[in-house]
Amino acid sequence: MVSEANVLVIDDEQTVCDSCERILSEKGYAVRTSLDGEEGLKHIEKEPFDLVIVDLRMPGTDGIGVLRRARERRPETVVIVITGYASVASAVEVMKLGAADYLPKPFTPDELSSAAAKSLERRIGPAVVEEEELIGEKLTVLIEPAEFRKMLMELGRYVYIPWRSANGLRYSVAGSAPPGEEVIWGGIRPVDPLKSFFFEPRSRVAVYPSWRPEVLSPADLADLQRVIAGVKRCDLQALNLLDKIFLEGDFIDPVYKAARENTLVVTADCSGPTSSCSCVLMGLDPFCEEGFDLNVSEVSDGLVIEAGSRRGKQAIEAYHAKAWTKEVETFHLEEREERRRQVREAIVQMNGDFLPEEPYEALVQEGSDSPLWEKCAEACVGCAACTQVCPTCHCFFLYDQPERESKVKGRYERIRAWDSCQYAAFARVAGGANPRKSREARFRHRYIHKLVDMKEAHGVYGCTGCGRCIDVCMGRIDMREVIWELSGVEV
Amino acid sequence: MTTGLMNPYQPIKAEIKGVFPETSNIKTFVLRPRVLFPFETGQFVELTVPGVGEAPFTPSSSPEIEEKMEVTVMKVGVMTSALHEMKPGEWVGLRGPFGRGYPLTDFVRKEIVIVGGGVGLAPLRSLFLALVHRLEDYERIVFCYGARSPSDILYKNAILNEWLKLDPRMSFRITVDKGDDGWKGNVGLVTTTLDDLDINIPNSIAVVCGPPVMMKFSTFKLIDLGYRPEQIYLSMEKNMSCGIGKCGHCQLGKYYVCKDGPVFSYDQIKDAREIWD
Repeated sequence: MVSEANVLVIDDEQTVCDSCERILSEKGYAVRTSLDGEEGLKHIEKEPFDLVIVDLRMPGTDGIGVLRRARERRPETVVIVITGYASVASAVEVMKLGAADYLPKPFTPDELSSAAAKSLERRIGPAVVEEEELIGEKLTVLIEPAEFRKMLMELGRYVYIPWRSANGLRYSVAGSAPPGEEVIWGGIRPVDPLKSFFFEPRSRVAVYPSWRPEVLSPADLADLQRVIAGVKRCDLQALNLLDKIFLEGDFIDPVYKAARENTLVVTADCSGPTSSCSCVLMGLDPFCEEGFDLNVSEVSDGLVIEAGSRRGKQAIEAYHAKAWTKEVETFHLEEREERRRQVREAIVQMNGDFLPEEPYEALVQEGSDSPLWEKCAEACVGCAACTQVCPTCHCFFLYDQPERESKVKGRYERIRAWDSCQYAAFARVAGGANPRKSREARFRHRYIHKLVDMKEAHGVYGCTGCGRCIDVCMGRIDMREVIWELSGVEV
Repeated sequence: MTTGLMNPYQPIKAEIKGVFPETSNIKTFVLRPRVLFPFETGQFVELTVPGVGEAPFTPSSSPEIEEKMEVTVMKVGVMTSALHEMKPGEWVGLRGPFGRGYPLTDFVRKEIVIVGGGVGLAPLRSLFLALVHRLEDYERIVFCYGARSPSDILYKNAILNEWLKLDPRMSFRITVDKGDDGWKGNVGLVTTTLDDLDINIPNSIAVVCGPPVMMKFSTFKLIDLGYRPEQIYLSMEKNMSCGIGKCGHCQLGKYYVCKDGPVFSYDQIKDAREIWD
């Protein structure tokens, strides 16, 4: 397929055109060249090229102009920009305009042919899911549990559904579960924090040396046609917070973005609670009303499925056509409301004692010199389990190691791995200074960060009340009790 | 779109063009990035020693020179020890530039006092060279610098042979904690150089960079002299790892030093816990 590709090289230097032609012809591409941007565009108008290689700086219509118009006229054309005046800024600009790659001159024949092959390969890679848009009107249907399971299986290549394990619910790949076993849509959040699907405990984020500003290799992004089902509100809230951290600002995390775009998130109403559940203390309900692709609510007649995104809506419509779904009746929605109300009430009841009168940010800020922190630090063993299981904790460190897959010597990969502010060396600088030397300072830091800083930065608490940190703490520290004590109540 | 996204974790290649020992444990590396790498003075870069890891440094060279970049590095840990072993012709990785540098537009027509300690002179050299580039924009520059001993003075040749002779609008006050037989200059902490500043403080800007304890006492001294917190700029050293405001290591109060700093006005961070630690 690749060997039949048509390539057009546009560069005002004859020697560059000639050498590109020679290199790519040897690889079996059909190559044409042009010394002028306008003339090149005329070729593109006349016939479709699979790949256009264009110089950035040319008299008349430059590389940006060619890229822009080529992408307009023939969006399927893959464009590689080459330049003798490389800079990060121009690389960013051409990438934003849709170039597949950016290659500073001089480049070796191997670099050119590998860039060409990679870019063409990427074109036939997995379809890129377009930006999510909230749908105007809600689409809600009723479906049998078994049929919904079939529907999920058709929605992605890897389908994770909540399965009962000895420790609680776990997300398991659907095919690996025992046949006939029922999917658990109710219950509380699974044991694993949802973040681990998008921000994995360890992932490769770069390979070097590369002497150009790299785009992520498609190999790192493939195989992610995923569905994750059974997500509870506490985890969805956390995911929305991680979205702000990894997808907003000047720098977007490409690994997170790829995982997020290639995953369908199916939430489910909580039927909890367990003793550590405390979403209501963080201002959350135990069910989802937005931010999901599909939401599942159990009712007596089956499952009420609601679409929350265009992707979710398309999924329902596709299965509606197969007559798997039924119209949802008003009494189904009323039953859903009643069930939600009851679960919420149960969680409120269980947490009644813990509701302080003041907002947490004020309590934590005012109590920042409280002797309570020292007391807590005595119970804390510094194991950092609380941050590992926390669905919003996203601190990581980067380390480099020899690249394992290729046999090329001198190639390294950069790994991003979970880290924790509870580890003693977390904030230490090489010179030895450490702003949080004591366990007390580190313990307090976690509370201030979650309940004050994150609220200020993102408008929501960095705690979603999932209760996992309470469940795993070896020092039996309960975040709710800490807040309660800060508000002046003896525990 | 997923494809075509820049990867902020990917270092680009830079060749080491020169290595210059400054003191017994500090070297300046001249780097030539394979693509143009413009930066603002005060911004930092993440420098990778291949296979070893990376660490943040603020370039010590002028931002006006595009084709090369210099970093001045003290040997303190695994990464910097590996870097100190490297020779011209070898390559390192670069990411960045990251963060906010010195707001030079706010310095225009001001009397600028620069207070540096130890290897903290590295970013200040870049600032100084940037200021010198448009010297006519500024009223005057007073450069105060303290080193542990005469042999610890950074850029000694440049200071003594070039900078001192540049222009009468600039003055230098250099001091060492402990002198030696050949030293005829001031002895004392860098704060002592601020004692008899002949400066119109309301029209002044102060810039401080150095070890935490030096920054603390220099800042307090400037406040005592009558500087308002918003007139003092600090270049904060934290454990910047990702450089892009996500990994959490460099948190300072509500800020991430890597994206909100490393240059802050003292006014921004004066109430932050753990500021001087």
